Amino acid sequence: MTRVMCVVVGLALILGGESARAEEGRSDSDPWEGFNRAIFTFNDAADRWVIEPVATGYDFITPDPLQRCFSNFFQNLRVPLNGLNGLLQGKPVDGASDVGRFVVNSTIGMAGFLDPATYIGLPRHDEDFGQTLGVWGVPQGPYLMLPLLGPSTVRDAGGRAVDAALTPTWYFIDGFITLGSAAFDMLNARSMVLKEVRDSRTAALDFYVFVRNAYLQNRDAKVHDHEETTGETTDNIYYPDDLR
Amino acid sequence: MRPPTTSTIRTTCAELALALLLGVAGTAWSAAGDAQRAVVQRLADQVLVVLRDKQATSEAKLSKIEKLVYAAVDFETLSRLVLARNWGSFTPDQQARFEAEFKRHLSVTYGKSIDSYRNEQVEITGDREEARGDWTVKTKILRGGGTDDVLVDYRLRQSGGDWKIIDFIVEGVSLVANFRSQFQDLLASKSPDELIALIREKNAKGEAFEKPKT
Repeated sequence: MTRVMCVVVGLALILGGESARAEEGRSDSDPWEGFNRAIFTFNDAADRWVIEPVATGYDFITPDPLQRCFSNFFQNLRVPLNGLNGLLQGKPVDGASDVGRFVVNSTIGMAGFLDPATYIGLPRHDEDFGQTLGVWGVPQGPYLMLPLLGPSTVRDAGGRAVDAALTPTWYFIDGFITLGSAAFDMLNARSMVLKEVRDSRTAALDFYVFVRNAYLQNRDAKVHDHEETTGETTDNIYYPDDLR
Repeated sequence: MRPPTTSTIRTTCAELALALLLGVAGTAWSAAGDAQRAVVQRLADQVLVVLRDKQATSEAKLSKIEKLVYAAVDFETLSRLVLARNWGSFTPDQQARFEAEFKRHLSVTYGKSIDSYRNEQVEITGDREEARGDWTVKTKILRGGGTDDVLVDYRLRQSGGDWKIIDFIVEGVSLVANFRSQFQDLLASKSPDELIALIREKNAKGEAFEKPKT
């Protein structure tokens, strides 16, 4: 029941959300900056003091191939959702390929720990409901920093809620086990990007703005499957003199 | 991708069939983009040679890569794009100092990755002409056996007959747009000199941070 509520609230937020343009991550896409920065400070502290140290220790004792196997396992569980979203975005070939991928990796791939599907030409399609909404023309809406889950937008947070509601494990497996495995998934994923996050922290002059801009640009690119984006956005970036 | 002409439709169909069969992305070549792809290919090849050199120290590698990158990138245009509307409010002296510090900032922060090279390969996957004469060359950094590939696009602009790189777009994130958003935010409360000082400070910290390791 609570899950249904989440979806309803999520959709209400999406439909009611003002359509701030997320182009080039200008701050007009972040009307709730004060609130977001507070959550970001909390997330950043939680990461520096708890998550990163734990992930570093975990990374030290866990061999790289094993980390990769765990990551494969959790990614495999999301393949049906990737496929469904592919279908909803009008990509039946990708959807069919995902069915094949799930079957191959769940069987020959030892319940998903290995990834033979990629080698035989059934690559992962990174699709989620936030992207589906984007393809359907729903704007990102205001930028939204979620506690512990990280950067999002009103649209993508709604998408997350829908994806979660469509994940069958919640209905069959005890909630604490599902939460525990989600936490482990997060820890494992975090342990694989220790260096990348450290480098981003040094590269950024304002880490909050760095993350916001990178998130918004990356999500826009994913909605367009990394193909050509709208001329307006790129003109903003590459011909700034026009704006005077 | 550019719209296919009738003569290429047959090849495109064959490519598509092949792509569906083998699951490899078909490559959309356009003869017009030869020079632009060559710039990216040459840079990638030369950088990979340096990275694969097991004898050289990290410092030697970094200085070699710096030279290669500086030759292929138009840093003046890149700096101007990064500052965008704020470029005009910088004096020529401030513009030059900004360009120098920003260049150093990229070198200090991204130079740290030199030692984490794990035999990644670079593959050019296509190119396209942009609306006003710029060109984008699309590449993929192959790693993790196909599961962890990174998409990197290079935006090029012609200056004095040569094609130079003016932006790097990693997984859809433009370096120019990302730094611009940070600088815009900072320049709302800081003067140009304060911003340059901030980058210099950050660079000094980054370099000091590196020293104990070497």
